[in-house]
Amino acid sequence: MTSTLQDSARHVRNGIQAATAGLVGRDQLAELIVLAAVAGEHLLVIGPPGTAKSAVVRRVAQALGGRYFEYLLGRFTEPSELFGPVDLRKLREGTVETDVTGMLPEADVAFLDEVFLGSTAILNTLLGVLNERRFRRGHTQVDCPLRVAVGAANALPDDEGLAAFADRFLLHLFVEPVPDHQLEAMLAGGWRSDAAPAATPAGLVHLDTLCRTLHDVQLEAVRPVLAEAVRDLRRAGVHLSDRRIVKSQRLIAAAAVLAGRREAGPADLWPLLYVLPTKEAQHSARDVLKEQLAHATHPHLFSAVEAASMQPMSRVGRLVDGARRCLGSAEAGRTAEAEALLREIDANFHADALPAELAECRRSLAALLAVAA
Amino acid sequence: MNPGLPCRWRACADAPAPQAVVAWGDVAPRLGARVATLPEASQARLQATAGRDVLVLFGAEADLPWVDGVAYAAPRREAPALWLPTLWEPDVPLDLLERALAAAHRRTPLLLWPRPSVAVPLDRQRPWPQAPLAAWAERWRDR
Repeated sequence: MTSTLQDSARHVRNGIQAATAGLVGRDQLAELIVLAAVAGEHLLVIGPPGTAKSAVVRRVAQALGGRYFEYLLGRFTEPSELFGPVDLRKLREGTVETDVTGMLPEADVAFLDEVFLGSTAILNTLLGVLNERRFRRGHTQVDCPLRVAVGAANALPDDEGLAAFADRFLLHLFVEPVPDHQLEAMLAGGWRSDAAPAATPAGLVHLDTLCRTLHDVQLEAVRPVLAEAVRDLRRAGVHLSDRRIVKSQRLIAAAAVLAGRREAGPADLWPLLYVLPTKEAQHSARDVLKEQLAHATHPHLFSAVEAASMQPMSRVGRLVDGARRCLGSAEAGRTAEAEALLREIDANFHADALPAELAECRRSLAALLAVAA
Repeated sequence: MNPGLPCRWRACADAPAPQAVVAWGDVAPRLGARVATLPEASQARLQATAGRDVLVLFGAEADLPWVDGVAYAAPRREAPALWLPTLWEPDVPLDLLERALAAAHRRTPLLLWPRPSVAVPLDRQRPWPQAPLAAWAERWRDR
């Protein structure tokens, strides 16, 4: 059973890798979509337009399999554009039924761009879909298979009503344009990914295996650490609603499950950072929780952990994974990749404090460059 | 540590992004040889300075070369004219140390290093393609 769990976690990880191939600096978003899907929660992405948000969601949905629905909302978007048109045949018979074929109520993964521009009617109906996985309109009542909805906007809303709607997204991710030093990699990756074939769907079966295991996860070892972290945040003036605190346990359990474990430990606390609703709160929390996040780690969700913790040890997993892929690759550009990895290792880790796994990777990468010289 | 600047070094908890690569002793000529193999466009993006025992190259993180034995350096926000190894920092307020070193050496910016314990002036950087490589190589040979 555990091997099945680990097998499923590995399949999902492969899906993330396939989905983000060529999309520089967007692994964190892909990883958080999967974390949210396993936890049965939703993700809100805040950032400027043109930061590849929809491309990542589309490709993760492709990699996971299942039905995908995407829509760019505007002030004049009609509910029927998201949920389906009124069934005229039924209307003639005197009932107001919605034909949801191919629309949001039938989707496994949904991406709603400019989500806060939706009308009151749309947002109220969306609440039912997001919270209860149930679509209600007129005489139509449908259970929705929705695993994860990703909402996107340029900024968090000031309006109180909309802020309450934003609060329904447990995970908040703030994305920035790709930094200057990654521009070349972004251009090359974007060129390659345009020509790359779509990821082969891993199938929702692996996601289902992980979701089913969620409630079996033992949280006893992490609960005191979580409570202490919340107390530390409160002392620093960073507050979370009780609902978000309780629900953060789902994300912690999902992190453990995605690592192929049925027990969560202090190393799985890192999703708490993404539960904090504002950029400022997340920024403060990195300092306040420095000690608790120092040992944050995950065998698959490297970028999400690294961005949450921003500490050297959280890089280990990504560097080891990158080194293994580089060493196993036959591509011509692998020496440049090896040099970049060695630079990052030597700039961030003391030689005598290198974790054994990373020290081994460093030796192999150095040998690769020595042969290439 | 330099005489008159009694401070200890401690491991840096948050290593900054490297902005320079530093090669001491025998590693300096090896780093120089590595840079010579880079494409011309990459070489043109690097600035360099050298001493009898050291070669320092400045550039964007992605442009900095690697050879076994190099270390990386960067200034800190609170002391922009004081370059330090990414992995180590002095256990004194950096802004005060920056001012004290500037007064003592009368040259800035400075690279401060724990082992060997020296301060290297960085005010004579040149673009790598215009660096006096032959003179530097001779200097390293005569160490």
